[in-house]
Amino acid sequence: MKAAPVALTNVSKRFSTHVALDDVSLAVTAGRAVVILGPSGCGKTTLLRIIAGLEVPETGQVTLDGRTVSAAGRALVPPHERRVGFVFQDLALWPHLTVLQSLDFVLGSTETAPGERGRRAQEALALVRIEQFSGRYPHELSGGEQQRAALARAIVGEPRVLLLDEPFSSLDEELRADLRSELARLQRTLDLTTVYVTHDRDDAAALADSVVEMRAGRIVAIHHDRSRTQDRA
Amino acid sequence: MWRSQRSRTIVIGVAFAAFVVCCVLPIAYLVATTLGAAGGPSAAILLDSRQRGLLSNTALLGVGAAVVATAIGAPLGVALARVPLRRKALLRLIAAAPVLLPPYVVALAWIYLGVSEWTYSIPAAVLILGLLLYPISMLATEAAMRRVEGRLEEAALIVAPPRRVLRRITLPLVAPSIVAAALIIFVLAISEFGVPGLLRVRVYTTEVFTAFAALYDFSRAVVLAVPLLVVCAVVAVVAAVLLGERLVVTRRSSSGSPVVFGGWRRPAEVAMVGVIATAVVLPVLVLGREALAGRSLPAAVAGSAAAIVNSLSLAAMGATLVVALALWLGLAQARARRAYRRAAQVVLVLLFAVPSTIVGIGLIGVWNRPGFFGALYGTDAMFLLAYLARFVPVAALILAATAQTVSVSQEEAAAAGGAGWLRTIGGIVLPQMHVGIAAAWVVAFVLAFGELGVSILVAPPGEATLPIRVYTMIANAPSSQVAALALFQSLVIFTPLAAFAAAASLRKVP
Amino acid sequence: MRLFAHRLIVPVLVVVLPGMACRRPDSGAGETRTVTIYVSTDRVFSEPVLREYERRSGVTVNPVYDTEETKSTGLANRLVAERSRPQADVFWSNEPVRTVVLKSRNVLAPYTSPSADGIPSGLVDPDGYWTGFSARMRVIAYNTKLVMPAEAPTSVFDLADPKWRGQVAIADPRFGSTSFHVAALYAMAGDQKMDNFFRRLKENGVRVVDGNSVVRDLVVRGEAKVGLTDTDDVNVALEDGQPIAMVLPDREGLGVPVMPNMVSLIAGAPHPVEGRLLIDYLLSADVERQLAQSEAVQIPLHRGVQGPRNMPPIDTFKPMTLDYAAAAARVDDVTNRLAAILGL
Repeated sequence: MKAAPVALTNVSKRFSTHVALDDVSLAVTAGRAVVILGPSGCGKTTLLRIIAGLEVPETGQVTLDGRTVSAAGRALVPPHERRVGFVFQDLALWPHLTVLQSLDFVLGSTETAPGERGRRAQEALALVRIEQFSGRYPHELSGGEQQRAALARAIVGEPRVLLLDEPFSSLDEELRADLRSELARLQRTLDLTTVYVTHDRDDAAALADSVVEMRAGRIVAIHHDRSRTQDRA
Repeated sequence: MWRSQRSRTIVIGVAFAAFVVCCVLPIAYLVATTLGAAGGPSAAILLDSRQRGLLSNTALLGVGAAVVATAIGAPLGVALARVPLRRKALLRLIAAAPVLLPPYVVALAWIYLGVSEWTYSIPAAVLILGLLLYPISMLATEAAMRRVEGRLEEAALIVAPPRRVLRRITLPLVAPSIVAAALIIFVLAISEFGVPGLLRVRVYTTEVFTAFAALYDFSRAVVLAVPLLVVCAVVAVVAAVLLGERLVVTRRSSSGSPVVFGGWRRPAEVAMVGVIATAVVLPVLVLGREALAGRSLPAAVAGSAAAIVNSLSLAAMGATLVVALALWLGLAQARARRAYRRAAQVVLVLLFAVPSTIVGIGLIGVWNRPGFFGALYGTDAMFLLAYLARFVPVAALILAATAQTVSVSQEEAAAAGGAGWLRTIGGIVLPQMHVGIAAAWVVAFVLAFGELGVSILVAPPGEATLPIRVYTMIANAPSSQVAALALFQSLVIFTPLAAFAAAASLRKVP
Repeated sequence: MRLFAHRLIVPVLVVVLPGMACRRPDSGAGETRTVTIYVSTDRVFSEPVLREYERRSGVTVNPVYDTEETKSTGLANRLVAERSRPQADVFWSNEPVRTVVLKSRNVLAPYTSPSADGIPSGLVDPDGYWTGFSARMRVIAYNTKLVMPAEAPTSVFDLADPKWRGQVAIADPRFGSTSFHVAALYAMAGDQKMDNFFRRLKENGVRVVDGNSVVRDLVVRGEAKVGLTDTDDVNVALEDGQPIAMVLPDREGLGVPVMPNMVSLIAGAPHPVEGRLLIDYLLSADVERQLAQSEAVQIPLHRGVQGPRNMPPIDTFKPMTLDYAAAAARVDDVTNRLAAILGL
């Protein structure tokens, strides 16, 4: 059987005295969307950061496609070699680069041939429907456009897994619903393995193949959404 | 809103008036009186053949020192901000020490160390000034790096190796601070007299000095300062153009240094120790050897107690006044329209570059007169006026850069909520600027403590600061005594700053 | 808290500045008498003299010290700048040129002190604007390990001899006592001779350094075999037991360049009475004795005052017969000539 794109085994992490993750194990199946649901401070963001390599777990290990990337308090593979896409809660768009330049920065770090980069970037922009804004700086974009730009940046490198940390939390309900369905469409189109962190049950309902509920650093329940899974089959 | 605008106008207006009186008037006075004097000086001295050499020497010295200091300082600043170094606070403190050493004396140490014909050259002067001034770039870079939102880097580290992230994402974001620091280093380097004087490099400062010290020719000195200021203006404009409007509002980073830079610890520590060994340990050892060879240290140090207290308290008061005035100028500049902002920046750089003797003579002209103005002349207040005249421009540059990192929208939000302008500034803007304000204060304090060129001209009879005392003691003293007193003076300023830094780093521990 | 600190600043400004104004040194003028003196003679030597005067007279002396060496623009500029409202009563200079320049800039007032009796006439301004006392001399210093006494140069002009190639050090001739010396040489020997001399000196690889003490240090270290410097600088090394000796140059020809201290009353001095009393004291035999016995080893100009240990008395050699005003008048021109010749 093919190894899971993302797997965590007995991962724990503490920040001084606060326990962020307590013996968490989780495997994500290829092409599926997992939503991690929980109140703020339950450790769900830390979970994403550990997968991405921005944090190192104290114990336990992380494997990506069967390769151990973090184990026993050490990062074995640095973030940029893990091939993950990440959308941050505050987006973290680079203020000094235009949308196109920031995609180019991502592609320039991969093995994409320089001639290919423009085409790949345009494709990504088309997928999120902001081709017309490619020359703009982040502060020249509306809130929704900024979200799309962040999404484009996260997928343009063709990551093996897309990680999203409450990306729509700052938007109004209408825009949020829009982008949610957009993301669902994108995820299905690209068959992207996705881990999505939120405290919003509507997000979970709209996106999840499975919902993982977390409390105080522990996984308390896992639900598989039959309907979505069957849809796809 | 109306109320808010009114208090703003009054405060900025008062600050601007004070700035004109303290910083502009002395120079304008001297220029007006000397150039207006019968016949005026002949502009012909600017056309004689040595001027071309002076011009290129001055530009080379300033640009070279800025490049060397930035090449050393900026990477160290990056390391301090991002790499998990061991004993970081201590390393930072020691690495920052060269800026406290009197330049003249460090040049002396290098001369003792190895004399070759090469010692008396522009490259040598550039290197020595670079090794003295790199802490400015280091500290500015570190402060700017700490202000960069950590997520911006993390978002890049997800896709690119750390080296590329630094080059393409982090450095462009902190470039305005690095270039601003380089500009200040440039001005400090070309207004430095001690090092080029000692190494016999002909630059405009030494030429202006000669006009005063050898010829007592005020108008010649003023005219010779013009090209110096032109060089400064050109560099300031180039810097402004290079920077464009790339100054970016970023929030203070919440997370610490990303773990990925852990691998850089060893090379960073080696580089840090190497720079410290070259720029601090070596000259101090050489001076120490000279000092121990002498026998006259106790005589000079004894009886300095009053001067030390005087110097530290005057420098502290001076730095406070400088920051108090520069703050409003910086705020006004940061919120002004772009063209005004750039013009203000160039003016401030120019004022900072005016040779100290010109400022001193101008201060005498303005304040030594009957009536209100004259009441301050001959008092300790003249030291404070000297510090204001010399250092408000540089503090305003630092504070304007800091004020620009605070988003205008926050100010507008507070104003819309009904807060008066002063309340908005005090409650919203200043707290976000506290690092910049502290930095401006420390810079002003260090500069004021070491100030000699103006102080010695306006010091009230019977009063002296430590640099004046040390300087008048060493006039013709053997080199051992010069070395001993220089180390002593450096120690006096290093001690309170080290204590301050220690206290600050203790406070940060939760 | 920060807001609070900020609100403090304006009151601080309001309180501090006038507060400092009250600290004006002579604000209690009614009770204590004060006198302000600007001094360019090294503080280590002048300060004890002024303290002694305070003790004897009960007058508070407010000194401003500075030096005319290459690191400061000096007191003369300050005196010129303050001319419209003088702060100083007395100017005590360690060499003649500056004083003469100040006379020409109308900074000085005439005063003939009774203490000046007995000082040779060439060392007192006929108009009374300055009076010389306690003199130093310009000397050739040599390293006794590298140069035998017999082969040491005896004239300044010997320094251009090719045998001293690369071995001669002088201080920057645009500043301090060296500027006096070269201006005097130009005034006495003529432009052509002096220009030639300095050209040959330059060809001979003369090392122009930052002050007379540096010349002395180079000679002590043997980095230069000979150098042109001042008696007090050499004496510091002599007392230290260093391998150095000095020659009084041009005893035969032009005469030995003698540099008296000079004291002057300032025109419009705020305390003219106290100023004159201080001048009387500085010109007294007591002060000349004190300066002779100090490390400054200055030679007394009053007859009968015991001279310093390492120095010959003034009547045992031929001093340069020099019109100080003529020398001072040459300073601008000579400075420019030497800047060109020596590439300064």
